[in-house]
Amino acid sequence: MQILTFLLRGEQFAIDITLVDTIQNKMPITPVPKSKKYVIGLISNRGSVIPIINTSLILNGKDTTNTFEKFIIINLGNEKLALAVNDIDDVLEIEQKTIENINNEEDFSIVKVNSNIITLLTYKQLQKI
Amino acid sequence: MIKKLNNGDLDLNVLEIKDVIDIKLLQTFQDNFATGMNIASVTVDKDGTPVTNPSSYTSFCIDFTHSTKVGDDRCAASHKKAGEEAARTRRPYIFTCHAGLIDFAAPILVGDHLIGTILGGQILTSEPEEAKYRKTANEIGVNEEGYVEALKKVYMTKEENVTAAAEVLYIVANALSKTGYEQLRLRSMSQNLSDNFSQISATMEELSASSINVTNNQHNLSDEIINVKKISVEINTILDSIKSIADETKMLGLNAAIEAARAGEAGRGFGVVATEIRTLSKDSKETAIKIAELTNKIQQSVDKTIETSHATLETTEQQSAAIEEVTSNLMEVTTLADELNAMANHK
Amino acid sequence: MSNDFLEISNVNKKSLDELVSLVEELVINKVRIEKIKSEFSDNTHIKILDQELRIISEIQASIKKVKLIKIKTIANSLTDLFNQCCIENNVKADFIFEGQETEIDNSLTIYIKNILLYLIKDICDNEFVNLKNGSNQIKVSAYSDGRNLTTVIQSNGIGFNYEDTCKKLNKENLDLLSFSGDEIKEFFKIINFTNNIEDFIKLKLDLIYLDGSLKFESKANEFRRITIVIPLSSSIMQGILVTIGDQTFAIPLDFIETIINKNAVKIKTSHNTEMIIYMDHIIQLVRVSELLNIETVLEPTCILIVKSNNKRVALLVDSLLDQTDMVIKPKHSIMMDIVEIKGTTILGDGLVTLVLDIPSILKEI
Repeated sequence: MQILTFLLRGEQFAIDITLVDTIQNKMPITPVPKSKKYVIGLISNRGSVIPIINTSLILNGKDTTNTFEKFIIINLGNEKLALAVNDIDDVLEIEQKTIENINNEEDFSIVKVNSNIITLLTYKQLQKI
Repeated sequence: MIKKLNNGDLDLNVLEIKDVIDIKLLQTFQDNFATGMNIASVTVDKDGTPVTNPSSYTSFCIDFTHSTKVGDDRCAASHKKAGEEAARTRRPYIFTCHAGLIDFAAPILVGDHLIGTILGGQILTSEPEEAKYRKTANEIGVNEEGYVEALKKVYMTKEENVTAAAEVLYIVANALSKTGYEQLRLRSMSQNLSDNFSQISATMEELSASSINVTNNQHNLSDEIINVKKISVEINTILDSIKSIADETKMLGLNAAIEAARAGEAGRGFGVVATEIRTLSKDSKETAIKIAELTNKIQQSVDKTIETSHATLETTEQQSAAIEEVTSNLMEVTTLADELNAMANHK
Repeated sequence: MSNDFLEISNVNKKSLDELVSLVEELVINKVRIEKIKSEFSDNTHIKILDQELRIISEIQASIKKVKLIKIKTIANSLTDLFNQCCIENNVKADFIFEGQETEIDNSLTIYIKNILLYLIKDICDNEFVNLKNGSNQIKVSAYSDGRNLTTVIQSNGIGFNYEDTCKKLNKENLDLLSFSGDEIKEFFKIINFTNNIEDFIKLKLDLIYLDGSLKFESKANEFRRITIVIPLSSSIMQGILVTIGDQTFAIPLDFIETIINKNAVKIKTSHNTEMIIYMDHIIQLVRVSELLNIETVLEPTCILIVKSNNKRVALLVDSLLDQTDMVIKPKHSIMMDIVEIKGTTILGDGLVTLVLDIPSILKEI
């Protein structure tokens, strides 16, 4: 399967490419008052209004809002979301079997590619948003 | 003749009496002295050639003794010998001339060098023996009777008067020569000074001119360097454009890969194209980064050069300023030397 | 004329949808064109642009009509299902459909149909009993007030005790869209709802997406009433743009009574509530920046007096920007709990602008 790798907080993450709608450079964001903490704001993309998610907060990390440069627009059900990330690397082909689950939750998996450890985000994880 | 040696001093070997003593003044003094003392005198140079007109010469000498060649030659020889003796002793020398009159020779010296002699006398200190003089008259070929008559007109005085007169002439003449010599030296030195300053001035001007040249070149160099820097900044701007285009291309490539993945089997070929695009963007980005590093190095080296050239510029500008100061000081001194020279030359 | 409607031609639905989207974008550009107009002093240019604007307005109106479909079209399939259900359950009942002439957006019909089918089935299955006196009846009434389509399904049957049910569920009302999945399961158990819950949850999500509502009411042994409200989507409506802090917000014009300068009225405070006196009315003043937790630096200068459901409130905002045509997109599910926001619109400058939900805000205060 193919995955899209990206950089966040200096770590490498990845996401199944079938979840991805498109990627783009950052653009001006309209903040939403009284919104959830991890919602940075809204953007307009191809006629749709899409919320931008502070991916760093979602993954229980420190807030790195001011250093993200790119958006990954993903399809969740019939709605779209945009994940704010630092940078986007590449599209890689990986074998299903190289994916390992840690502590058997479906929260996240680890993939080893060329001796790099990449955290693969799962659908379930994203659904929580 | 006034001739300077290599060390700047005057060459005393060629120095003549007219170089150090104002002959007109000497003449005046000589005349008045001779009249006052009733003692004849004349000044000759180191070769024995008269430099003044004879003062109060007796008729005995002018009309008779000097009138024939024999007599004249005898006088010259006598004078010469006396002069030599005087020069040797460096003191006035009193003697009896070939014709029997009392004469003296006072040497005029500069240092150890004889530059002239004052000859004088033509007096008698005691009653003369007529017979001797008649004999002399016949030897030199002049009228006996006239010679004796003239002899009677010769002034008679005591020996000590002659000594004193010789002494006076000696002192005065040597005082005059010393003064004259010192003045000459002064004049020579001040001329030296003046010449030296002129030379220094000229050199300073050259230096100033050349340093202005250097400063101008420095400025040109600085301008050129700033130009280079501007160009390298422009290159960097272009590189930034290239980098951002490379980024956009990469995004495009990734989006293409995403679409390809979604298209499944049908998108496989497209996926390959997308990969190529990503590679291309990576390459162009890497190339742009390399060029950026290069221009960075160029800029750094240019910056260093600018620093150095600025430092040099400062130095040369300081030099120029210093030179100008020195030149202006020199001009002051030169003016002074000129004034000194003028004073020294003033007689 | 009612006959006009029966001339149906085959139109590719996808192309129609695209056409409608494009028209919506045209609307947004109207604002831009207005701006461009102001840059010309030459009359010929202004005339041409005015023409364009007029044509756009006419296209808007026409498209609205194109997309509208009478509910009548789904009535038939509903009736068929109803009859089939009755036969299966061996009951006799009447099916009344009121408001068939109501025109609704084409895209809504499928939602309406699904919901009605779903609910009607349950009624058939569970509500009806063999009544000796009177007849079982389902009445579906549909009506539109231009903004919302309201569909009421009323059936006289077993029903359930409204107050008790509410108490058991610890809820004030049976507004099902605000229920969690488990709460819905419980509710269905209580009222003996047998339909597939997963299907209902899907319908619930759809309704939420449409920004609609679904309410149950009932009186035991008398009736059960389900009210479904769906906002007519892609309404091109007029709005007023205001600034609060450094952000811009849109307020639908329909709710605005009047706009006044803050300096024109005196603000009085009593019991920690601010109010103004305007035209002999005492109106409560609400500082929108506080409502939305937005930091402001400058003194607010503009008051909009808004009215909804007979309640009036004065909204204090920083400044008044402009009047604009806007297409309100329903809000993303992630903003569901922010009641003050009705939806989003994209203005001429391409930025997302939030649209305030005046009725909700008024309910809150």
